[in-house]
Amino acid sequence: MDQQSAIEEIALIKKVIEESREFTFNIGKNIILWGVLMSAAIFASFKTITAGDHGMVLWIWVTAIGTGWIISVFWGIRRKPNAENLGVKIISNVWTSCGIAMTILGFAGVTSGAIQEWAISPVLSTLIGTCFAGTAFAIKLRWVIYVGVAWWLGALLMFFVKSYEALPLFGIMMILFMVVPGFVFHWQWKIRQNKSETK
Amino acid sequence: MTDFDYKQLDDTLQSRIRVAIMAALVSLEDADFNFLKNMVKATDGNLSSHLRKLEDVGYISVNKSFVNRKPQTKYKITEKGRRALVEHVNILEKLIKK
Repeated sequence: MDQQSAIEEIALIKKVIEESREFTFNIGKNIILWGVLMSAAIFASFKTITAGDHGMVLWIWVTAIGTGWIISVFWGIRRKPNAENLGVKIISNVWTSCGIAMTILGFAGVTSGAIQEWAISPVLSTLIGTCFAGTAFAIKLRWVIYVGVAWWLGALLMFFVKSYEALPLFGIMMILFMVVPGFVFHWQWKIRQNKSETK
Repeated sequence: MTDFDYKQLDDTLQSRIRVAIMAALVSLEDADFNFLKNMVKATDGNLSSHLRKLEDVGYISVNKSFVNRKPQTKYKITEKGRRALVEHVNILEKLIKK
């Protein structure tokens, strides 16, 4: 082996390690699903509350969260990964844990009276920001940490609004900082898939 | 040409495909046959024979299971394989620096 062959082999090793590290499963699909369901539930809740029908709010959320969990679990069971890396496991566990925490806070927290209804939006925003920050560290994507920061800033703002008036802001944040990043993740995953298929 | 001693290089890692397989597995927990095939761009037969060689020397481990009643074979780099790849890279770097 000569020096040129050694340089080529080191380059090959680096390239393969980089490509296999880039491998992640499509988290965009789940983020889009939850973003759409949550924003629909938020706007429906706001409309119902302003119409004076508070009783319907719980059912709106039971339907949205229940649908989200059923579809997510179904997708999770059907998922057959070709390869598994630590980043994928971290992201998967971060979002599942946050999802369970948000479901407990949203339902048990509010129905028990431990958390006031208006406070649920900033509390959930804080948790979603944490999920994005965790994801950013796991997949080493800088723009994702900014999404997390946007959620935390939104949470701060909503804590001081202290009313249902914050719900439209929460809904808009859900579209801008959940559905849109979900599509970006999905689009990036598609590009990676196409790149590996055409190589 | 250099006075590089070929004997320093690991015989198993003299093949580029085997090096690529090891490099692909080093940053993953595990991977299946199709993932590796896609990653190293080898034919089924070629990849199978290289995987067997790596398994024979203990650089990778194979785990066969059934997922939804379908057979699934997963490959994982062993500690011995990880050390061999690091050593291989060190030798290559020494050669480049000569």
